[in-house]
Amino acid sequence: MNNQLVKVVREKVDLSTELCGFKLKNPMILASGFLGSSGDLLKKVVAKGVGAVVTKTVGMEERPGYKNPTVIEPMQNVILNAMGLPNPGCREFAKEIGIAKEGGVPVIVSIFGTTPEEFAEVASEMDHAGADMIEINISCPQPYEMSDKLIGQNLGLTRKVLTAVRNATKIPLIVKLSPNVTDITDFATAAVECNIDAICAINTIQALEIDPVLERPVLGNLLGGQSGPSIRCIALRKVADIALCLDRMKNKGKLEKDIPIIGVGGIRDAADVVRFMLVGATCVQVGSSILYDDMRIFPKIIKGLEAHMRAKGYAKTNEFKGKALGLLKHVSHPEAN
Amino acid sequence: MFRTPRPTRIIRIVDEAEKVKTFYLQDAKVARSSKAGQFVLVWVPFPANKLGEKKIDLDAHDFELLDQIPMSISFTDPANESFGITVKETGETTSELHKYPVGQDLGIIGPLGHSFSYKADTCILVGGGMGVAPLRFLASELAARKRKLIGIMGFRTKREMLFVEEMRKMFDELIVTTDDGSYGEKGFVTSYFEKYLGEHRNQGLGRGPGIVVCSCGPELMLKKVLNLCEQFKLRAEVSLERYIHCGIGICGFCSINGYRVCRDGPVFPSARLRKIKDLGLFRKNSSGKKENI
Repeated sequence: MNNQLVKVVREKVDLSTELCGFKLKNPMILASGFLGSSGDLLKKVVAKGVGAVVTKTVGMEERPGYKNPTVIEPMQNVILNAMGLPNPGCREFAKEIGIAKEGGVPVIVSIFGTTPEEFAEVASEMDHAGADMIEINISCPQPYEMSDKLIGQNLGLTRKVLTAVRNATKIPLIVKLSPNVTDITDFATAAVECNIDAICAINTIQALEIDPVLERPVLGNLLGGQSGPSIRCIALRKVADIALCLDRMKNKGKLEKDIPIIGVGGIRDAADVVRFMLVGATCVQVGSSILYDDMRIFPKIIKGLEAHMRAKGYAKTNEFKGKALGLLKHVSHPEAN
Repeated sequence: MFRTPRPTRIIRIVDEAEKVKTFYLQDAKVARSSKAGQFVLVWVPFPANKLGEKKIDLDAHDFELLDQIPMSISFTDPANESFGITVKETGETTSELHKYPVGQDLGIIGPLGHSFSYKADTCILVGGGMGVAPLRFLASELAARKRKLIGIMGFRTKREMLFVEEMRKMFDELIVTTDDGSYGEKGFVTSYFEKYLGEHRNQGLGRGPGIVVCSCGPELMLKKVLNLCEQFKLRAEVSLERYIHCGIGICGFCSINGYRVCRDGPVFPSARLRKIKDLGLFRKNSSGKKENI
């Protein structure tokens, strides 16, 4: 009797997920900055079964990026990078979007600018170039005309950028938040108030590596950001904080529609995907772990997720999405009362 | 072993040709485990003129000189746990490296990438200019495995010639060409490769997997070599070069038609090379912008 029941459930595992009006065949998305500067390479990632891809971040003008070393792995599960947003300029990049779209899944274009107006202009260009969605990268260190910090560390600037981009395009907007702030929920709240459609968290955590023999910082840019499995629990906490914040807003009637969260940070296997979903992520992004399994990581995680759901008797991911938030709600928050 | 630069000491420097030096570095891993065609990322951490300073401070110009660059391996000496990279002074970083003395430390990551396969009884090595460096390592490996070795190596001029005397001992047959005729045969390496294939086409060339053409050099030369291999139905393995950021296959900037030179290459077999339509036409710069070759 039990065996029969399991068999019925097995046949019904369905990973398809809705994100901002797009039906993804599964919640796995290629994270920005990985393999995303070439349409041909993005198509290869699509062929590995992902539900969507995010391109390398592009801006208005061509940028060569920082000098190498730009990516290092100083210890197990720790990856540091300081690429310096190398990109050919968004107009030059437009043709890569067309090639990537031949893969048949939504192509999310990651953008940055040096002013709110420039963000808006790049967003508009990428909309016309065929981007299905835009991910606004306010969380990479970049040479600003506006501030010596990340945009994503300044609430006022964040609002200006998000508002400008929102006014420039009607396609779905995702904002990628920085964990390098006192309270990430302030930025999530700002995103909601600026009519952003989805929240992606987290970008890299500020980091530094020094070589003890050469006696200098290892990255060409000296400072960088940390990614890889070592940041997974930090990312999980930030995603949970955002999910709880959105729940509170909803309960207070301040949030009419669902704002999906895209969890990213250190995801290495299917169990990690499940962890992010249990704290409310609708989709997840994978990037740094490509270092360990190359592109095989995508089918590996997708198969693993199916197996996990079969074992647990789930047919759809939304059956367990946010399940662990029930307990986390008991952690008091000043806004909760 | 983590993919971060590890300090590696320069133990010997040999002048090879005009503006070309071989740096021998102390590193057991590369010395023991690398195969010909693989590369290392070489990090030049300081400008040479500041190496002696007690507390090194760098200005904006200094930072412009520093970089981590991909270099193919040209020598290995497992017994002494050392290996060699042969470096031509072509830009700011290689110029700084050329000023480094013996005893100084560099950072290296590697060995990285796919090597030549070594799978053939007869190997024809076709090299041009600095592309001869990894082929020198390949020739030494293949000679040790008693393969039949034919070499066709081209240089612009005698002053830029590399490893010729040494290679004469390794190859069963070696043709050296210079564009200006200052040494060996006058003309392009590809002309002599074509001539060689024409003269030997009735001697079993191209039949079965027993023969392979291995090539490294300027991309237009490689394209011509590949076309000749197709024409004469020969299997080829060719080493490509692109601007490399991460070197470990995750950033994607060195890709050419969806193949990453750092991880899928730098040595590619014929079957893949046929799919690389940009070969000899375009390369991407460090920003990812396509430029004509």
